Amino acid sequence: MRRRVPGGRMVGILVMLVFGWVGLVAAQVTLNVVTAGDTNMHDLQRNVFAPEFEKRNPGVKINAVGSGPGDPGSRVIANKLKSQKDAGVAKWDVDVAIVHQIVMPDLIQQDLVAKYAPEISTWKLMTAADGRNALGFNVEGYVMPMFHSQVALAYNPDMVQSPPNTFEELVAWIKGNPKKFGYNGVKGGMSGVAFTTGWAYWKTGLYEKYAKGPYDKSTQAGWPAAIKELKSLPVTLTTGNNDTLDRLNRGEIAMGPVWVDMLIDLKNQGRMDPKIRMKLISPGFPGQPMYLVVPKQAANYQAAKKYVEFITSPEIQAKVIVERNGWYPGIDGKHVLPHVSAKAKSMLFQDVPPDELAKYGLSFPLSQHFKDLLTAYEEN
Amino acid sequence: MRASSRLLSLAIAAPPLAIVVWLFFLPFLSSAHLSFLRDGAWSLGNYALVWRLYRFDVLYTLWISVVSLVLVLGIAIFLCGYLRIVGHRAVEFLFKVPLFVPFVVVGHGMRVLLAPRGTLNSALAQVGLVDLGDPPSIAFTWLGIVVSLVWKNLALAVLLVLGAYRAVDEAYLEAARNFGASVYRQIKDILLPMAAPSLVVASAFMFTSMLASFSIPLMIGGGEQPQMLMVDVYYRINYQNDLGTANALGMVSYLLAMGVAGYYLRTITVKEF
Repeated sequence: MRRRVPGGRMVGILVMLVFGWVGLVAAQVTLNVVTAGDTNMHDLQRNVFAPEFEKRNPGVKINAVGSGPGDPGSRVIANKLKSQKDAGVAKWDVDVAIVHQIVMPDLIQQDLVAKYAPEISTWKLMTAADGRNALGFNVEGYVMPMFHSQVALAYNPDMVQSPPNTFEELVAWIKGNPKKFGYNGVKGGMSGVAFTTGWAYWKTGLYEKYAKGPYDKSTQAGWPAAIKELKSLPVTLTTGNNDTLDRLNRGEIAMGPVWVDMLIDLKNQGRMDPKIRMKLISPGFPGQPMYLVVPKQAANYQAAKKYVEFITSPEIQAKVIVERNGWYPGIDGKHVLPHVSAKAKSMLFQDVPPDELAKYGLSFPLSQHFKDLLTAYEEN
Repeated sequence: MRASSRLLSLAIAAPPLAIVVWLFFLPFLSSAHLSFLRDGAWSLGNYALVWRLYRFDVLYTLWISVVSLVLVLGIAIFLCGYLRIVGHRAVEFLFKVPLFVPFVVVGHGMRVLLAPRGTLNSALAQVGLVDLGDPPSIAFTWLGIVVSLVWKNLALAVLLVLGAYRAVDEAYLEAARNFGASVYRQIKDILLPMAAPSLVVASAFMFTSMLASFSIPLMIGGGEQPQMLMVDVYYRINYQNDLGTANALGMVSYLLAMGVAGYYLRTITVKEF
């Protein structure tokens, strides 16, 4: 059976097509925005930022493209830029890219991105350390963090009367409440990886070395013992980021590491027990930003800068990054908070206030250490 | 066969063969090639790593596939026999439903149903059969994977086995009934032996697809070792960016599947010429 499109709708589609076409002709500039990350990242550009930016800047059209989830998605963007450079193309077809930390050394060393950030007005609002340094690599001026995402311990206050403040207290709690702490190992998603990384930082006390480099394999001597101890704890191993959240929601576990934005997103959708709280414990967990970069030979360099300025403006950071997505702002929170609704503020900062975030929000280690840690986890 | 007709058959078979070569055989060779490369040099390092980290995962994958297959066949043989001899439209329809449910949906649905505080335990707790303070869990264990795989594959099994049973001439069954054979005897002594080749084919299909199951073990399996092979492959690629070991794991899966495929090919070509 063929589905027929009703006449009225057909006319509507035609009207849209005609107007879309007219709009396309009227637009002098098409800005190509390519984002790494999952479908939510693509939707954010296409359905949230693009319409608003087009409304404020008549004559500009945003063409948002997703390049795929995780670090491989960022890799795709780097490869695309590199191939255009190698082919000697004068105007590259990416104006703004949103990438993970891991590809920054490549992008800068191969001369693929512009040092554009000091030229935009929001540059002086950006104070975060990871806006200047990505996994031990100096990126100052090349990036603007779009947001900062953080892993924290989520817990159920009914089952955890006094949540731990440190890793020592956490271990004591886990031993006293077998199977009630859940995390997803290192195979099911980054929240478990972040917890394992935080554990290694705590056990070795060598965070500075792992995060800032230079790479030195001898600093990993303490890992096997640390990982053996982690694996000997009576915990529940979940299958992924979502599974940890599901089990918290159902009350099967009482505590576990989660991405802050995922927890807030579920709460916003009413799919999470509202009483679940968060805590960042000493010495801390890693989190990560995503960066806005502008390629060196972007066809629309000026419009690209405007787009980054728009995303990193206090108002948009407040309304979209904080309220809609539950991320921490990419620019300094003190410029953003006045624009944030009380409800969103309490969701984000009630459990992890900005000063704690500054103290206990760590980076992931250098990529080589990072890989070694994943291997060490499997082998011990 | 004469040479001309041989050529003709070859010409007819060429396009599908070319597709198989291009879409399967060449990637297979490339995968084999990459599995012997480590840091750009020929080595057995990838296989050494598979042996060191994943040898139990290979056994685990085989174990889950074999158990699931035995259960699916056991249920399908008798259920289809009942449907063939007695017949029941509603039951038949119900068993075809999983055919149209995607793997991810099966994984998530089973996870919600079988979790420690999932739908099943919550329902049983209402009548006092389960204590929610310390609930038993089928999800997140190998049993959870088996239950999901069985449920998902039953539809395919029912489709294939029932088709084979329906192809058995009614006269045989009537003859058996005249001698007073029960439904069980009719299935065991008439339907099953006559439909055996189809059962082998169905088994080969299901076994290879179970070996390659990914989303179901990812969603309902446990978070710890052992894992099924495809989950390991995914992990090696996405987290470690280690294509060599991923390909070596792939080669191991090919070998496992090949044993079954060889048997299947022998069964379907045995009647030729």
